[in-house]
Amino acid sequence: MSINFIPNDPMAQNGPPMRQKAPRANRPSGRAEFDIQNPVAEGVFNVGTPEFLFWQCREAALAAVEAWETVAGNLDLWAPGVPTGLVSRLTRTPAWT
Amino acid sequence: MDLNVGYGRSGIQFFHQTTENKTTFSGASTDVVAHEVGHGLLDSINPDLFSTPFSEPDAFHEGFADCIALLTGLSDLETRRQLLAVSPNLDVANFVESTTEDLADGRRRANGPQDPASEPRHALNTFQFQLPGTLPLSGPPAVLTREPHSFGRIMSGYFYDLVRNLFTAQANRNEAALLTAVQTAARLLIPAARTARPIARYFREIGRLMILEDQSQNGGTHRDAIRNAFDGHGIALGSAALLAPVASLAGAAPKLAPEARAAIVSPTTRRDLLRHLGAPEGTHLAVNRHEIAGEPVAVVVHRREVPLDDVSERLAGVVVPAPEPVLLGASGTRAAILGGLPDPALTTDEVFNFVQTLLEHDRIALDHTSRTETGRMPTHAVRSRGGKKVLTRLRFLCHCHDRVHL
Repeated sequence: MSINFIPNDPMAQNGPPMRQKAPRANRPSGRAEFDIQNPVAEGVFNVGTPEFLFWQCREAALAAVEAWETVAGNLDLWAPGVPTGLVSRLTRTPAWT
Repeated sequence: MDLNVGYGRSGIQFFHQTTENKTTFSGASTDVVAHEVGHGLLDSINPDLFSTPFSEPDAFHEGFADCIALLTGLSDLETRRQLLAVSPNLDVANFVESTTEDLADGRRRANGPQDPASEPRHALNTFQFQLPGTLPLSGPPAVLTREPHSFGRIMSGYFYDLVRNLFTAQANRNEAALLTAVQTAARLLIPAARTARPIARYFREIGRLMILEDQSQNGGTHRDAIRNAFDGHGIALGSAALLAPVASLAGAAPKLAPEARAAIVSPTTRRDLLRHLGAPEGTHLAVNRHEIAGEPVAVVVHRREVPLDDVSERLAGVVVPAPEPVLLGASGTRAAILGGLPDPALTTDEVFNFVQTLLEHDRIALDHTSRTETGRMPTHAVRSRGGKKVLTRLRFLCHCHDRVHL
């Protein structure tokens, strides 16, 4: 299966276009990870749909941590007080209203 | 509603908003997601920075997050190839050094071109460092202000320039060399960010530590590349001074054995240090053992409680604890202060500058609600702790300069 992924920014000039790719694997057990809300089944989704945003956000977050671990070593924990699965919410209305 | 995105210790939140029939999704940009994850990564290695009430560490958090977006982008093979096709020497504006294009477009449509976040942030810039208190509180995108995203462009600027310097020094300027350059720069930046003291002049602290890291990791191979990157933004380093003894203290040198989990500073030395700091005897000092470029030191942190009554009547009775870190090592067999002592007046001035910026941008929740007086999302709140009203960090917000009206 594949997902749609924007590797830079939707409005990046001359940047690499959206591509279809296999999603990154889940974080290895025992490492800091992400808990992205409202998961959906893997698939190729249109930009702007909740399904696309879930996989785009997941892929970008995992790419950032992967780049970090290449230079800084394994990321086992987030900051004190942050759950092992750093929660990411995709929402229209701020949760703290 | 705010077109916004934020990192807090309860999680990362992405919002979306429709303006002029176009919806902007802050979570659709890898730049933006990597930036927010970058806050979390920095928080994981230097959690004290989260609540440091000074402008430069605050701006560093934002600049560092932009650097993680840059590192993430350049870790992608196709991105590196495409970048070198449009900017072979990385010296013209390009889609990698530019971040948040889509979010900025949404801000511009919503608020117009004077909105400080209505243009992408550029790491390829020539902004020159100024003391934050001398910068305007706010301004349009082209103006360097003390608002943290704006001021943070100094930091992303010297990091990008370092990547450029490392890359153009290589014989083969190909995608592999570009990956090596950004990873080398990151390997210098991240240990520096891990060990930097939470001091007012944070940019210089980071630069000095990067020089020392390079000495430790690479025998000083990249010293000129680092120095030139910082010079290009008006930051002179003088790294050797960081670990130089400047004053002796009563008592024996701290115990800094490699097997020790913490530094041991004698009660005699603690008392004498408090005297130097002008703090009452018995005041708590937090002591940690750090290694700076392989050199063990004791980092002793005094927290000066700064009253905010003189900043604004609305903050009457509110205090903020500001860190005053001191490096301790040895001179002969005696304890010694390394580098220098914090200046209490500077601590107070820096806190005032920082809090004035928060007030200017309406980022403090003054009561027990989760919103500011005008209904905006706060980055800080006044909370009761130990019978005192304390200004407390809640989260970092990005693109938070002005309210979006729908």
